[in-house]
Amino acid sequence: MQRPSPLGRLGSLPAPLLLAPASLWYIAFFLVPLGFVFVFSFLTSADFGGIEFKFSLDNYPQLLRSAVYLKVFANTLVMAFSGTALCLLIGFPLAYFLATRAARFKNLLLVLLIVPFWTSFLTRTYAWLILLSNNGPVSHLLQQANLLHGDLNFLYSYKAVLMGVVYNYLPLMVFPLYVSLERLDKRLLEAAKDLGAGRLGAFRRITIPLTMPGILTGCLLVFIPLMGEYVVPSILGGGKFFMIGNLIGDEFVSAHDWAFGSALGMAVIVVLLALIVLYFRVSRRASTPEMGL
Amino acid sequence: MNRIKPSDLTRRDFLVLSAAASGGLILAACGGNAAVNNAAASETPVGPMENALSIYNWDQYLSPDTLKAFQAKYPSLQVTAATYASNEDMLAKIIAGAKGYDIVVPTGYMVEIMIQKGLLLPLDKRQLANFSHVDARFRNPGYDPGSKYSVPKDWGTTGFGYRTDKVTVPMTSWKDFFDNASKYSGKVTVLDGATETVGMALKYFGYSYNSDSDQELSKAKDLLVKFKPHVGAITSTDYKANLTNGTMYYSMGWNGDFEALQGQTPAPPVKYIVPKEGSELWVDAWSILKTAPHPVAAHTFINFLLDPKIEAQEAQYTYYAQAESEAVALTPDAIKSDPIVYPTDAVLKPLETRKATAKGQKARDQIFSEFKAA
Repeated sequence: MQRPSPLGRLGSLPAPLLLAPASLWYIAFFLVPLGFVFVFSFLTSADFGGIEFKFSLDNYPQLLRSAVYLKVFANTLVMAFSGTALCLLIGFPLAYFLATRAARFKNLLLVLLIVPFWTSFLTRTYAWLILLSNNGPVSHLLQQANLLHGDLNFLYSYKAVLMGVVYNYLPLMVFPLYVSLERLDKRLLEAAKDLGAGRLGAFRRITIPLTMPGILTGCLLVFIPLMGEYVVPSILGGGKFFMIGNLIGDEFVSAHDWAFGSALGMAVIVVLLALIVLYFRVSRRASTPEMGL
Repeated sequence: MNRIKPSDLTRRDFLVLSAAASGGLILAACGGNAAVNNAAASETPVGPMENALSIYNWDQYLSPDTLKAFQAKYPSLQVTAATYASNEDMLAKIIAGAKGYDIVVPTGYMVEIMIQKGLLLPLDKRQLANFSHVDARFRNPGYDPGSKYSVPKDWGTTGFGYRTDKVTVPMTSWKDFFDNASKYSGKVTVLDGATETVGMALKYFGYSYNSDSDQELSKAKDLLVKFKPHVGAITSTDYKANLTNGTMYYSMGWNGDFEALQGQTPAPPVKYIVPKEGSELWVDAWSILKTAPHPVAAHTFINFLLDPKIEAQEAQYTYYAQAESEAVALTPDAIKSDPIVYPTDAVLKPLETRKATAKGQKARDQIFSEFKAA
C-alpha cells in the first residue's frame, strides 16, 4: 500500500497552484503599490498635492540638498539600532529563562508574553501617554515613594519613544530567541564543562554561536519595522521627535509633495536592502560556526 | 492681504448674485437630478432625498445634540462622520481619491485651493433658504466671492494661551511667545500646521502672515530652528489636555479651545491672548464635495445647520463665534459677551486671513519639515 502524503491531497497539488494565492496577494498589494512609489519618485508633485506626469530627476538630489533629511535618517538609524540592542539585552535573559528554567510555568509565561497583542497597538501606546504624563499614575507613585521631586517630564522625548518601541517590539525578539535556545543541545554545554570551560566560557563559545541564527532573526524582526516606525514617535514623541516614517507621512499628508515622499520611501528601501544583504552575509557565517576555537 | 470687512453688498445685491449662481447650477446639475432644480426654496429637501449622508469634519466640531436633532428630523438618513486634524490632512485624502464623503469643513484659504482644484460642488442656494440668516459681511468672502462654494460655519482667532500660575513674565506678543521659550524650555507647544507655525514666526518680525518673500521666510525659519530645542510638543489636538494637567505651560492654539478650558470645572488657570503684532483671523466653511454621493442630503444638512437656533446650540459646544447675528442673539451671555469668542474691533484690526499661493505654501511646508526634524 502506498503511504499517503503527510499533507493528504494538498501534497499532490502542483507547486504553481500552491503559490498562486500568496503570489497574487503580494503582486496586488505589494509589488503594484511599490511600482507606483517608484514611478512617482521620478515625477513632479502638483501644487497642493497630487502628481503631475512630468518626468523629473529632482527628487533624489533633494534628499541631499538639506542636512535635515540626512539628520532624520541618522535619527532613525540610531533609534532602530538602540531599540534593537535594548530588545536583545532585555529579551535574551528572558528567552533564556523561558527555555531553561521556567519548567511547568513555561506555557503560561509564553501566553502572557502574547497577551498584550490582544489589545490594539494604538490603544497600548495611548495608554503609555496617560500613564507617563506629568499628572499620571507613574508620576504620582514615584512622588509618593519620594523617588521623584517635581515633574516627571518623561513624555515627548527620545527616551519616551525608545521605551515605546522596546515595549512594542520585545515579543518579536523573544520568540525567535526562545526557539533557538530551546533547541540548543544541552549535552554540548555539559561537554564544554567536562572539557574545563567555565560557565561564561561555555556561554560565549557554545550558547551564543549556536543561537546566533535566532539572535539575527530577532534583530531583523525588530529592526525592519523600527526603521519604518510612525505611530510611536507621533504619539510618545509629541510630533517633535521625528523619524523617517513621520517625514514620509508628512510629505504625503501635509506637505503635499508626493514625488519627494516617494523618493524618501525608495531611499529607505535601499538602505534596508543594504542592511539585509549584510545580515545574510553575517548569518551564513554564523550558521557554520568554526569549531575548535 | 485679505481681511474680512463688512461687505458692500446689500441684501438685494445678494439676491441677484445668488440667482445668477443658481442659474449656473441648473446647468451644472442637469445631468444629475432634475427634480432638484424645480423645487422652490424651502426648508424641506427638494427632489428625492438620498438615504445617507457622510460628513468629513474636524474633531469635536459638531455638537452631538445637533446631530441627534437632525437625525430626529430626517430619520431615514444614515449619517456617518469621520474626522481630520488639519486642512492639509483633509485635502491630501480627497486628492488621493477618497470617495464617499459629502460634506467637508475647510478653512477659507483651503476653500480657495479646493475651488481651484475643482473639488467642490457649487452650492444650490435654493436648497439653502437659511443662508438668508448669514450676516452680510460673511457673504462675499475673498476666498469664495459670492459664497458660491461655501457657507460660513464658525470664525475665530489663532493665538496662544498660558498658565498664569506657571508663567511669571508678561505675555502679550509673539515676541514674548518665542523669546520666553528658553525660560520655559520643554513646556511650550505649537500647532501641527505649517501655515500657523511658520505664519506666527513671520508675525514675530512684524511681517505679513501671508508673506511669500524668500528673505522674510528665511528669517522665520532661522527663528523656528533656534526655538525648536525648547519645544515641548507639536500638536493641534493635545494642547488642551497638556495645559490642563500642567505638562505644558503655554500653547499656540485656537480661541475656541481656550474658551472650552474656561468652561471646565475646575477651570485651569489659563489665559488666552491674541498677540499684539497680529495673528490669523479664520473662517471655517461648510462645503460639498464634487464627488458627493448625496448632494441633496448634504444641502439639507447645511441648511439645517444655518438655522440660527441650531447655530446658537453649536456655539455652546464648539465655543466658536458664529456668522449669524440672529444666532449670536440666542447664544448665552457667558459666550457672546466673552472677548475670547467675540474679540473687540481693536483686537480684530491687525488680524489677517490666510491666502495661500502654491509657492508660499511649498516654502512653508519645507520650513516646517526642517523645523520638525531639527
